Amino acid sequence: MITLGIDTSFHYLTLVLFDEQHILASIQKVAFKKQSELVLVEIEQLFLSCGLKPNALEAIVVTDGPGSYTGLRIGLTIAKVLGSLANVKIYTLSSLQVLAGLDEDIHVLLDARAKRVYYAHYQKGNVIGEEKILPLETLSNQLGPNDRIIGDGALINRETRYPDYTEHFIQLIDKWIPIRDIDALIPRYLKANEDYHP
Amino acid sequence: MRICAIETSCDETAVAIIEDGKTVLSNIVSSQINVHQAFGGVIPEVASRIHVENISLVLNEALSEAKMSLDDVDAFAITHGPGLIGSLHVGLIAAKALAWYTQKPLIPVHHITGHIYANNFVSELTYPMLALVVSGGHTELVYLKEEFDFEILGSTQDDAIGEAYDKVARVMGLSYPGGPMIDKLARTGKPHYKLPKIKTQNPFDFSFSGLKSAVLQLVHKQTEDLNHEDLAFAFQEAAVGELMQKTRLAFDTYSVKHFVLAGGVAANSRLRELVLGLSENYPDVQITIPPLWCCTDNAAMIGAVAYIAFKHGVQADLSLSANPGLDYA
Ligand SMILES: [Zn+2]
Repeated sequence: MITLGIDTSFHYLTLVLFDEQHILASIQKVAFKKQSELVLVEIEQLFLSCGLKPNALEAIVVTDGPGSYTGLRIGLTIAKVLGSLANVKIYTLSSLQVLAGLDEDIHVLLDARAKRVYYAHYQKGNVIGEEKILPLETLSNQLGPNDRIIGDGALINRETRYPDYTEHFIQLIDKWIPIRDIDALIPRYLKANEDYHP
Repeated sequence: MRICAIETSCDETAVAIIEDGKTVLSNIVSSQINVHQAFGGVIPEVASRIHVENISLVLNEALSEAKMSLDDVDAFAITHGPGLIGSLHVGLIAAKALAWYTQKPLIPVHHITGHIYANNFVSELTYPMLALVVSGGHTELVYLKEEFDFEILGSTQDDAIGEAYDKVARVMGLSYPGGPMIDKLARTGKPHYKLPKIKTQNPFDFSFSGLKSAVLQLVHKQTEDLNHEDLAFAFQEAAVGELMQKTRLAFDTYSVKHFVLAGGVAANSRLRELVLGLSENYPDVQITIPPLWCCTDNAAMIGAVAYIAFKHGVQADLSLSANPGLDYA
């Protein structure tokens, strides 16, 4: 099954093209605020580099949040449109989960602006508790010096660390959530807009 | 040539299938007006969220109503500006994804050119043509010496006319959207209030902020009970009068074979009446006003102009950006 992994939820544009167990091609590049211009150019390149036609695409696994609102809408719009009109199977993963991968024990944090972070604790691909949005202060008090972290660590005076997480898309295959009602798929914004609840 | 056109520049998620720029095979518009009415205006983040909710449904509906599959589409057209950046992004990404997947051309469209070429659904357009563009974001006189050749003769120096209508409606305590409410009230109003005359440096430019301020002053300084009908009448006559005066000046200055009205405010009943009345003094100019369904945003008009743009060699690659302040001339 030719599958495209897409993460546009944050700083990086991450795209992975794979076939069952093997990565055929991937890219991970800083694309903050440029996701919209870059994403389809890079997808096109990915397919060309593998000698594949676009309609060879059979499935998309996309991160559905949390993250930059605009970024989430970019990845999910591609998934919704191709899933709904072109018979491509759609799966989702959490953007925090895909950073954690199958790590034994890791705390993921992503800048949610206004001195807040998107945060989750993951063990071997499973979330401990739930994903949430927290004030920076709350999180720095909560995390001990031995807790391993990934993501925007600098926000709490730790190291900012983004690994190459392209392989995580395949490693997490058991965690993919299949989407049946593709038209109803929406981003998980986490902080719901104060004014509007669908 | 069958074009699948997508329009998400503001608060309507719209998709249409247009054949050869003329025949509407389907035209689906999912409006958010009810949501935004509750807030008294369009909230950009909310608009973007609703576009994402609706986009695949609206695309599917447009294709199925046209009895087509993705394979039958020859090109994808997309409004890439002007408009709300987050809203534009959703349609743009959808169009780029489909253009890539089907390996069909991507045609970028300026929203206002769509409103101008919506008149193509009414009658064959002839050149040189003059267009009066009136909407919530634009007020301008556009001269098309030839097909798809746009020159802006004059534009508003402050508020767009639709914006002025909305602001005046707000101070009068009318509900959103205010333009149609003022139009309705003005129908039964009488000459009573005096509003100042508008002046601009370039004779083809427009200005509405002075008019708006004058209405504000009247409302705030009111000593007697304000007559809403008469106030709406005074404002509408002044605002629409300004549009007509500049239009007549353009008729007298430039060679014009065809005149078209375009944009959201083209739905205004008084403006439509006065524009049609132009033929009395200018019998040689063909005059076209857009159907009411083309005054609100839709994708059919985007498909209409995209067909013409494509004939003129307009095409984009997958790096196409959304541009909230896009110019077309
Ligand atoms: Zn419009």
